[in-house]
Order: sequence, then structure tokens, then C-alpha cells
Amino acid sequence: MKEVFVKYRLVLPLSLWLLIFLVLPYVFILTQSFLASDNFGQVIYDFNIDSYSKFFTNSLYYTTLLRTLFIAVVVATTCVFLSIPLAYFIAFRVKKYKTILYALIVLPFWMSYIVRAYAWKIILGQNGILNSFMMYVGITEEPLEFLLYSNFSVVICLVHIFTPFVAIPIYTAFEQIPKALVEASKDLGAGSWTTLWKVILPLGLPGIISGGTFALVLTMGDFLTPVLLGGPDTLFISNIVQNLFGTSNDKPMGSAVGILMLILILILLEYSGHMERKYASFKSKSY
Amino acid sequence: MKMYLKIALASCAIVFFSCEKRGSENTNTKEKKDFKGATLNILCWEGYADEQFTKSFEEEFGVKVKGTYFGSSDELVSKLQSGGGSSYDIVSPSSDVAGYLVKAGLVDPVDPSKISGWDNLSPLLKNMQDVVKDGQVYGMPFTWGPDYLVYNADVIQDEPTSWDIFFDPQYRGKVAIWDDISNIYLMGQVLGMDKEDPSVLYNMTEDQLALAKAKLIDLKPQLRKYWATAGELDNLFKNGEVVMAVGWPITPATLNRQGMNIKSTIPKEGATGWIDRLMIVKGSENAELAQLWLDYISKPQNMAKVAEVTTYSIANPNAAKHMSEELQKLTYINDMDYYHENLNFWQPVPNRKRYNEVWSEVKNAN
Amino acid sequence: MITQFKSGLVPVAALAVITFLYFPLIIIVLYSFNADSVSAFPIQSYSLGWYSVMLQNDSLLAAVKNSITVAIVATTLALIVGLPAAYAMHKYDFLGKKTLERIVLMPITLPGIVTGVAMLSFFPLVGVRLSLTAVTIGHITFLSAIMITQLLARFKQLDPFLEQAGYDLGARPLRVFFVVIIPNVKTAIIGAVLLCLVLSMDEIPVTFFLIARENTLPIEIYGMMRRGITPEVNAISTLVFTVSAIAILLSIRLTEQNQKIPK
Repeated sequence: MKEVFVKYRLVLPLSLWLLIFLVLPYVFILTQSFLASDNFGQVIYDFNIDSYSKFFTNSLYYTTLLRTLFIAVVVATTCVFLSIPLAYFIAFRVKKYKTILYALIVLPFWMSYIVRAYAWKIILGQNGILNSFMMYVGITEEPLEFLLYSNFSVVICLVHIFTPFVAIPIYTAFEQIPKALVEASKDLGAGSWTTLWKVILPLGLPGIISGGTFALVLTMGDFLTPVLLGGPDTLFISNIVQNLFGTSNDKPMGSAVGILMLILILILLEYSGHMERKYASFKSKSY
Repeated sequence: MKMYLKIALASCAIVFFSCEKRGSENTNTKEKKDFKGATLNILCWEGYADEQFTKSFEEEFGVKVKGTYFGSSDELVSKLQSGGGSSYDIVSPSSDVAGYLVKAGLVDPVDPSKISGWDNLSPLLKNMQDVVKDGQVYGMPFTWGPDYLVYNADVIQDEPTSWDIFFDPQYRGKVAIWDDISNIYLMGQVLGMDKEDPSVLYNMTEDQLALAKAKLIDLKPQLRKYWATAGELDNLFKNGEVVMAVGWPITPATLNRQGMNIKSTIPKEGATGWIDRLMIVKGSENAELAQLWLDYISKPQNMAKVAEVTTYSIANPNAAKHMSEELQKLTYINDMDYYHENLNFWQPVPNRKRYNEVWSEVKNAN
Repeated sequence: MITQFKSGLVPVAALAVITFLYFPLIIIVLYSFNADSVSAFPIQSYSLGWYSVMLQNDSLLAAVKNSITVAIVATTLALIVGLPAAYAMHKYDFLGKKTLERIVLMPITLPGIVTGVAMLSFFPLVGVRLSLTAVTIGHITFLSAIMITQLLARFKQLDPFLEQAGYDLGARPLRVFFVVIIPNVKTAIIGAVLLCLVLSMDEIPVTFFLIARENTLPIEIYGMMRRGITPEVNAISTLVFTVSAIAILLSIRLTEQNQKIPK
């Protein structure tokens, strides 16, 4: 009997905290998304679904969402392509300095987000390091303009920021593949590529999916890189949310966009979780 | 051991926090020295809390003046709506939202009798009725100026006469405009909508908005970046990313001090302009100190310093005697009608939400 | 010959990726010693100038102080709230456990911007005005999630017999918790605390919306970037990077040591 009280007492502070400062705020923006606002953004308590119907009728909102999704796919795919050789190398080729190399991928994971965006800004600028280097060496005569303030710079920066997020689960998945299996494949005469393609990648798929989803979801929620490195054509769905809560000041609309974004992300997470489990069970069946 | 250290540090931090709070509570008394240790928080456009003119106020009252900059009128409104009163004491709204702040009850009236420079302030600005309610005045005229064409005179030798130069293929990717709905006003001017009635820009029909939007989309290939703050624009010029932009006088002022050759002009289609006031936020913890700031900054010698930092036109013409001849010319202080004849001053936009949406649509268009 | 080439390709590719990951960091460190204010190639001369400029930038220093304060207070409270809850979630079954587990993960899985605007809209209604206090509350919320996931993982590795032994010797639950459990997960706690401190110092999406007039370090740097490039950002970044790298390496080492102890 006493233990019952103990356990509830242990979780009570956390539960209360999360209720007040996390669950209720979410409930509140869900409510707010069904309210209206006047021309100066003052919220009016008048129930309606205008914000949602606007989302699906004004191309501003749904095309931005689709374009963000597209860029997120590009970022996630690039991250996966960069992570595979890295994870493969550390998991299967390195024996001695594994921990050090692993720490090497983990470390940039913790490097300040804003500082990394800043670094790309000074690297890619018109008079930046890359342009001045290329002109110094003589590769180009004029600075390349597309490098900064474009979708290109946004993608580069996001790939740079999220690659460690992707590499870690892929590495973990590769590490779990029994080395004997890889050896066996090679003993049976399969080349490195065949082994990679037929054995390692299928078995590492759960890690690839979970890493890719990380990058996808994080890109969808990013709003600072587009602001700092994007050009006149760069607008992410998160920027719309950010603006609706700031410069354009329409909180109900902003809440609706945020809620729809959330729903899309939950679907993505659910689907990828499902896929992960599917391929994970294939893995356990196979041996 | 480390843990203990951390807990010790944490408790220090908590003590520190509570001390700070106590400091700001007892500022309601009237004696000068009682303000000691208080912080006057000003939420304003860039340059309005520059240390060149905050220093002597800080020294006189033993307080700190802290400026937080906002990047658009809507950002200001949004910050005040989400409980700004407890965070800020003074705001500097422009003519497009000043009336709203009064109507929405977000600001308190000012007391002209306690503002020593009040009688000398430009009557034209003082007599505007948009910030008067029930016979009380809610704002002190502060500065005004244009959103005009700023260009790098080393690259563009001849003074541009028309906004059309923004569309010149020669300058593709070399133009910057402000990340703000005022671009819609500008395109309205470029399209000649305000020829008969200046207020058309602020009350466009859907058709007119569509025209302005199409024009802004045409402009997109020419653009390098939408600048969000004056400082960002300065940098775009400095790094050679752009050669012309829509900007405020503070940009040539800042850059020319750094040895650049930046000029500005009001093209033949005209330019929009803004009138900024200082207002006291409702529920300000330092209302009295805020009133003292208004008094301080209204004085000619201090207004002159504001002009020096920003090269905006200032509300007190008596400041002229504290300004260099060049600065007097730049700020039209002896010809206060000049801007009033040449600029279309921002007005409240009844359909502001739609304007904001159109502006996002422009950014979204490919 | 061909196989050799193939097997050489992997290390080269891996090296290229590592270079890509580290290149910007090296640039930042290198250019923090650049004497010039323009970040161009090659560096003409080196100096510590930007470090002294940094030390004179009052608002930057204030931001560092704010960030450290928020991080320490938020981490401490996240630990106080998170540790007992993680233990209960590990040890007991209770009503709503599944729901709680899902909610705890929300601040980690859902985009920070939505959490940020939700808090921005709701906090003023319960009397939390936008300020560093609001920022701290926001941080505690997501840090407690980090704390719980980290600690739960460690609790799962705990030898159940150890705890049982405590009870068998007649100790009361609270005593078992403090005498048996805590010492055994001590390193995990320190690791989680370091992690939380670093994460809090770098948090942007939630902070961005809850901040009023006093900035945390990342928001201050963001502001500096918007106002223009100032090379003292290189200097402060180098310092932040060095400190957080040390914290993280320490945290990795502690978790490793930790795994060795029970064996």
C-alpha cells in the first residue's frame, strides 16, 4: 500500500510540470488555431476553421510545405549518402582507434548550431573564404554568387549540421551486424560492393531509416538557417510559422500551420517507426 | 566535488536573480537618486538607443539604458501584445501602428508639461491627431525620414532618377529590399497608384495588390537578399553583395563613416516615409524614468546627437545650432517641409493581415 | 589491383566526410586569430585582437552570463524533477505510465519551433511573462526529457539483485535509492548533467520565442549575425566550442567508465 504512494510521489512533480508547461501549451495552440484575429493580430475568441481552409486554398501555405518537404528529402538523402561510408569505415575497417573515430563523429554533433551557420556564412560569402581562395589559386576570376543566399547554401549548412545525427544511428546499426556474417559473405566470394549492397545495407536499414527520418524532421522544423543563409527564394514552412508569430503577427493562422506541420511530422515518424520495425524483424528472422 | 560546486553556483544564480528583481521594484519614488540601479528598457528601431546619447542620461541618473531592436512594425505590435509592458518601458512606433497602440490600450499617455523641449517641437508633427485620445497625447514626436533608394556611388556613378534601375539587368542579383510589407507600398508608387491620392498605397484593392505582387515577383531575379535589419543591409553593402537597396538614412551615414561612398536619392516616382514617436508602455515598471527620458531626449543638444547617429530628421528644430552644417543639410532641419512635400508617409493599413500574406506570397513565388 | 582500389575508396570517402564535418570548425578557430576584420583567404597576419574585442563587448558577456545561469538552473531543476521520475518509470508500473512515456519524448521528437510558439502563446496566460524565467522553464521542460531518457537507459543496465540486496538488508525504499541506486548511477548522472548543460547553452528554437530583452548566447550571436558579421563571433565560438568539446569528451568518458564498473 505504501509503495503505491511512493511511486506516484516520484512521478508527480514531473507529471505536473509537463502538464502545465508542455501539454497545456500544445492544447492551447490547438484551440488558438480555431480562433480569429483582427488586423493587428489581437486574438478574437470566435470559433472558426478559416485558418485551416486558408491553408489548403492559398497556395502560399501548401506549396511552401511541399517545397520544404522536398528540400528536407534532399538534405536527408545527402546526409545518408555521406554517413554510409563513414559508418561503414568505422564499423568494419577500423579496429584500433574505434573509440577515437567514433568520438570524432559525435563531437560536431555538439558543436553549436548557430556557430556552424555562421561558419558557412563566412565561408560562402561573395568576399568569403571559398571565393577568395578560388580567386587566389586562380580557379575562378569572379566570385561565385550562387554560393551564399541561395537554397544551395541552406542545403549545405543543414547537411553539415545534421550528418552526425544520421551517422550515429547508422553506425550503431552497422555495429550490430555480426562480423561473422560479413566475413562469410566475403568467404563465399562476394566482393566488397556485393557485401555492402546485399548484406550490410539491408541489415543496416533500420539505422538508415531512423537516421534519415531524423534529418527529415529536423530540416522541416528549421527556421534559422533559411533566414541566415537563404536568398529571396528561400522560404520554409517554419519561417511562415515564425513570421506569423512575429513580423506578420497572426497567431491563429500560425497555430494552424504549426498544428498541420506537427501532424505531418507525426505521420512521418509513425511511418518510419513502422518501417524500422519491419526491417528489424526481417533481420532477426534471417539468423 | 564537482556536483557541490555546481549546486553552489546554482544557488548563487538564484540569489542573483532575486536580487535583480528587487532592484527593479523600488523605482516608483520621485527622488533622482532613487532610480539608481534601475534599467530603462527601450524597444526601438535600430540606432534609437545609441550610447552616444544614452551615456550622459545613464550618468545623470545612475541608471542603465538598454535598447532592444525590432525589425518591423508588426514585430513591435506582437511583442507588446504578448505582455511587453513588464519587459519594456519605451517604444518607438512608426506612423503605421502608433494609432493602433493607443487604441488597443498598449501605451500610456505622456505628460507634455514634463517635457522641456515640447514647446519647440515641430508643430506639424505635434498636431497630428492619430495619437490623441480623450484629449490626452500618447506619443512624443521623435524622428522622421524616408525609405529611399540607397546606392553605392562607386559602382553607380550617375544618380538614379527612377526606381526602374532596380529592374536593370545589369544589376541582376545586386539589389536588396527590406523584408517588410512596405515593399508593397513601394511597388504601388512605382506603378503610379498614389498619383492622385497618397492613401491608396495603404488601402489597396485585391486587384491593386495583385499588380504590386506581380511587380515584386518580377523583381525577384534582381534581388540578392531581403534585409531584416539596417545592420544587415550595411553588411551587404560592405561585403559587395549588393550595390543598391531600399534603405534608411542611417545606412549611408554608417557606411560613409567607414569610408565608403554610399549615396541616396528620392526617385521621381517618390518614396514612402515614416514618422516615429516615443511612447511609454502601459504598465511600465519605470514609467517615471521613462518620462524623464522623453524630457532628456527632447532637448536640442540630445536631439542633435540622435541626428548625428542616424541622420534622420529630428523633431526639435532648435537642435540645429548643435549640428554641423553638413548634418543640417542632410537632415533638412532648416527646411522641415521638404520631406512632407516629397514623401508619402506611412498610414495605418486597414487590411494589414492581407498585406502581410501578400508579402509572404511574394517570397514563396518562384 | 581493382579490389585494392575499391577498398581504398572507403577510407578516402570517410576521410572526405570527416573533413567536411570539421572544415567549418577549423575555419572558425583559425579566423578567430585573424588580425583583419574581413574573413578572406589567405590570412595575412595573426593576432588575439578579436578576443580582446570580445572581452569589451558588454552585451555579449551579459549573454554568456545569462546562458550559463539558465543552463545551471534548468539542469539542476531538470535533475530534481527527472531523477525520481526516471527511477519510478524504471521500477514501477503505474496508471498512465505509457502516456507519460510518450509525453516525455514530445519535446525531443517534435520540432522545437512548435513547442516554442505553443509556450509563447500559453505562458503569459499562466502569469509567466516572456523573460529569462520563461526561457528557463522552457529549458527545464525539454531537459527533463533528455535527463529521463539518459537515466532510464542507465537504470536498465542496473543489476536488479543489487537493489534487492538493499531491501533484504532491511533498508527502506528511500534509503535504497540514495545508498544503493544513486552511487551506482553517479557517473551517468554527471554525464547527463553535462549533456544538459551543453544542450541548454546551445538551445535556439524554444528560446527564440520566449526571450524578451535579455539574450542568451546563441540568440545574441544570431542577433550579431543579423546585424552584420563581426569577427568576435569567431572568438566566442572558439571558446564555446572548446568548453563544450571538453564537457562532451568528459561525458563520453564517464559513461564508458560507468559501463566498466559493474563488470
